[in-house]
Amino acid sequence: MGAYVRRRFAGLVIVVFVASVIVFSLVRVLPGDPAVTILGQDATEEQLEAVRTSLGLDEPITTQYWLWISRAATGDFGYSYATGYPVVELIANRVPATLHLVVAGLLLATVLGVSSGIIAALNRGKLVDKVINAMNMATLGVPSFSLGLVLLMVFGLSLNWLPMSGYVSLWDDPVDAITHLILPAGTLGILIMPQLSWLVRDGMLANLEQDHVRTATSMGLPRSVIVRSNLLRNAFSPVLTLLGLTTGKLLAGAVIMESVFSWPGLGSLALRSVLSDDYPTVQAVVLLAVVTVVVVNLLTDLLHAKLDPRVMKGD
Amino acid sequence: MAGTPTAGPPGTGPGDAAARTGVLRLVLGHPTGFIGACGVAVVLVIALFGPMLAQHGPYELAGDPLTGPSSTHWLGTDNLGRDLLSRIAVGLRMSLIVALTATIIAAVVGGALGMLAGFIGGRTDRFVMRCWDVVLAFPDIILAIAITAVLGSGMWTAVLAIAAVGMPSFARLARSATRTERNLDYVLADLVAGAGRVNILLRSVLPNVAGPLVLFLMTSIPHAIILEAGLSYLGLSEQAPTPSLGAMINTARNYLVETVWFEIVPIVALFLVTVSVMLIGLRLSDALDPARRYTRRAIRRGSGGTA
Repeated sequence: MGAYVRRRFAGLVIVVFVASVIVFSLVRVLPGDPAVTILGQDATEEQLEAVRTSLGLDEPITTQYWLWISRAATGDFGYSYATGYPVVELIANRVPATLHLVVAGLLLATVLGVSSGIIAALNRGKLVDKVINAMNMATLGVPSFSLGLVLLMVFGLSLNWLPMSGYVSLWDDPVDAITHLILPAGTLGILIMPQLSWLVRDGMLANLEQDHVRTATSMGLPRSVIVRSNLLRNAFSPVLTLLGLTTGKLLAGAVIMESVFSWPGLGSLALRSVLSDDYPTVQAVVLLAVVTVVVVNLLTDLLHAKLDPRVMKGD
Repeated sequence: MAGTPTAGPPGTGPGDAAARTGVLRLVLGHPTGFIGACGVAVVLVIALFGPMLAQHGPYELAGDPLTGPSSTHWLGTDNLGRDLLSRIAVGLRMSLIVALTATIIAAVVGGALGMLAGFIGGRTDRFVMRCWDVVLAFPDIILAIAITAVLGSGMWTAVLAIAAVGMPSFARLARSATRTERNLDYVLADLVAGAGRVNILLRSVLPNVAGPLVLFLMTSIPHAIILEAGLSYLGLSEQAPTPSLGAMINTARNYLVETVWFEIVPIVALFLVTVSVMLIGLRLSDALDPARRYTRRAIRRGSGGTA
């Protein structure tokens, strides 16, 4: 286990390092002078020079990278070009909204995916199985914003059951928060669901044919016990891995959901920043997303290795 | 004939024309493929002839804003009173062009790098595959945002972002297929006979790796279309006034209280194109790759279908 952890951790460090160099270079290859972007065209040469020095722009490029990354590691991403606030403050303000959305989306995806997978496996080849499969296929063909907007038109606009946009914190008003969450998190959940549903179904069916299940059946154990203790337990570890792998998908989906449902999260911050040339904020959000993806992947892999030590042998 | 997944792609073998009609029959002879083909036909007719059918150009302020279908505007008008049919037609064209270009770039670049990595092996292999790990660490929309920060928003930014998102999957597929081929007797025979590496790669390995790559390309197109729509929805792709389905859907969001018609038309158009192309890909992989050795990832994991 120790060697495996070390090898995986080394991989993570390399990926994060290269990604951070890319994110850092984004701003360096941009046309134009950041000092001019901050101060505007009318600034005097002395003012520009002062800003350049404060940004460290007169240092060699490796020193600049080192300054940027060591500050970033302590949470200092500089100041937003657009608003003048510290970037870390802008991000901190928006983390809760995105966390609400992502956690609720993941929960709904797991519940929907696992239950539909179990139902499909237990009704293998029957109509229910085919309907679930067709729905999963159709979901993959629908862009998330289309799905979100259709749900919004049905449940928000026509039926008027749910609010059409906006975010309320769970700590402020749990009921209101949940009604606001249902549409965006539900859409996100439905998008992640198909892969899970298939995985659970296929995993259960593969296990159904294994000896230990046949033994349990011939011993007369009730079906519900077999499903719970044999089939689901074996399907658990791949589900976990898949959930880990969907982190990137979840974050990207959150950017779109935040746009559809006017959700004040990190995605809409990134989008607004990129459209207003606010590079320090873009850098910070992109780096944060990459680190999140890589760290979650590592954690799921380690957990997977713990549950199923065979994976450590492969690469 | 194109009956086995290891056979070359249509158009490489000696029975060129026969292989092509074979693929056509393969698609049309099954309900899944037939429905998909009909959908694609409708999309192509709209994309190619829509502007001729519509009585107004896509940029022309031709009538009252936000009207439903009528004899002068078959699909109604948008918020500025422009004809939706001709805007949808141009939007479909744009999204097909962007998605196809990006997928082909991803297949060629990713496939070539994957083949090289798989053939050379060793340190090169590890290096190239590590590079893809870095690319995969960026969620697709986030990668697009990062690229937009450098290049500004526009069609080519979208092409580049979609291609970059797709490349790792093509590279991995090409790499594993190449590694299988590399150890087969005929490649060893070529090596022993003193053939150059480039020669072997192009003459012997490529025809056998191309089949799975082309199949994977087919199944990747819907994801590219969806991602393109997502980017144009977020305003990171084509800019106004160029019509794009995503941007139309985004604009219509602001007029939902007045009319849902303007919102539904582009959503249905987008759904039609993605599902039709997906059905064809599904039919092809069912027929050519029943074990889903090559296409499972594309179909089930979604090689970038976040949007």
